[in-house]
Amino acid sequence: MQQEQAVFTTIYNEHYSKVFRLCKGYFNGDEATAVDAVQEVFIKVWQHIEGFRNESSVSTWIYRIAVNTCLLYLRKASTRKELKTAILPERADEQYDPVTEQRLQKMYSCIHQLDETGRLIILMVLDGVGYGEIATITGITEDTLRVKIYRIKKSLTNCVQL
Amino acid sequence: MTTFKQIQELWGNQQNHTAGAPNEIIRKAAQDTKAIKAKHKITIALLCVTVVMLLLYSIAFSSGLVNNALTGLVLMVTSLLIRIAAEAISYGRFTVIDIKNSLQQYAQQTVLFYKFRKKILLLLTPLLLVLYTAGFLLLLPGAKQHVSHGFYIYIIVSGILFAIFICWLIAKQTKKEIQLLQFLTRVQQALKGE
Repeated sequence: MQQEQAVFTTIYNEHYSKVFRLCKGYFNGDEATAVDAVQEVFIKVWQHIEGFRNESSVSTWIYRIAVNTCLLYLRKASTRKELKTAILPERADEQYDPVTEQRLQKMYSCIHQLDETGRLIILMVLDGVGYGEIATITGITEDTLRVKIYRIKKSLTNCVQL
Repeated sequence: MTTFKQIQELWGNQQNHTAGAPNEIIRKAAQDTKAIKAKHKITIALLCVTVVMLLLYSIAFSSGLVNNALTGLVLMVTSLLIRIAAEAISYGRFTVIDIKNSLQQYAQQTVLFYKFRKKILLLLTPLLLVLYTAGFLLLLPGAKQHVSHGFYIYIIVSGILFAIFICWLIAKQTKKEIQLLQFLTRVQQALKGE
């Protein structure tokens, strides 16, 4: 148990930020929803921590759980209600920049206009996840993925420019 | 902003969100597991208690029951037992959905699960509800002989209200799950590039 807790703590501290960014991007920049969804992701990570030992890539493993959780999170309102707590602290706003924030909001809005799978894929691309890993996370072949990403990038760039 | 690279730079310059304590997640996970198990047990327990009550009723009044009333009891108990079995199978199918699978596999498994749920909600449940109601109606003449007039009226009124409530609950759940199935099917098609 203690060993599992230690493994979980390491995973949590190392991967929290990227899971948060993925969820925040998926939920149109809504931090409160993202915080709750991240909590659910890590609850699932903890519940499956035993199976993790045989996994080759922690990152892929975490992303798979995060992507699958985000996909259905808003569709299961009852689950969301149960998990709604304030156990994760609010962001420190010392470096708040309204211009950057506005640009980020525009970007989130454009990401939100994509379909759910496109949204999840581009969020991983933005976070620097390799195409091979995204293919493993989503189950799409790398060739199909490249075509998809090309289209999504084009659509996103056009939207942000408007 | 004109290029994707610039969008990516903006993305990378976001402030990091401070992570909470991991122990809180572990505590919450334990609570969550307990709550899900409890909810499932309560559902099964309520259905089982109803079956036991009906069986006890049939044993207690078996001597005075006419054939119709016995048929009614059998219908009510059978429909409840089938519903319990369906719920147990459904729960079993839900637990095999693996959150660690790829998005495509996860969507596929979830679609299969909700297709199964759709059959339960749209075919089996209404059929069982009809059987249960028929059983209840067959039981009424027998009940009239054993209870006071006031209590008999109460049984009828509460029975009707219960039926309305159950129908509303089933309709709400069915709508929610069908919407979820439609959404997942769309996701599955998007992943296949359709």
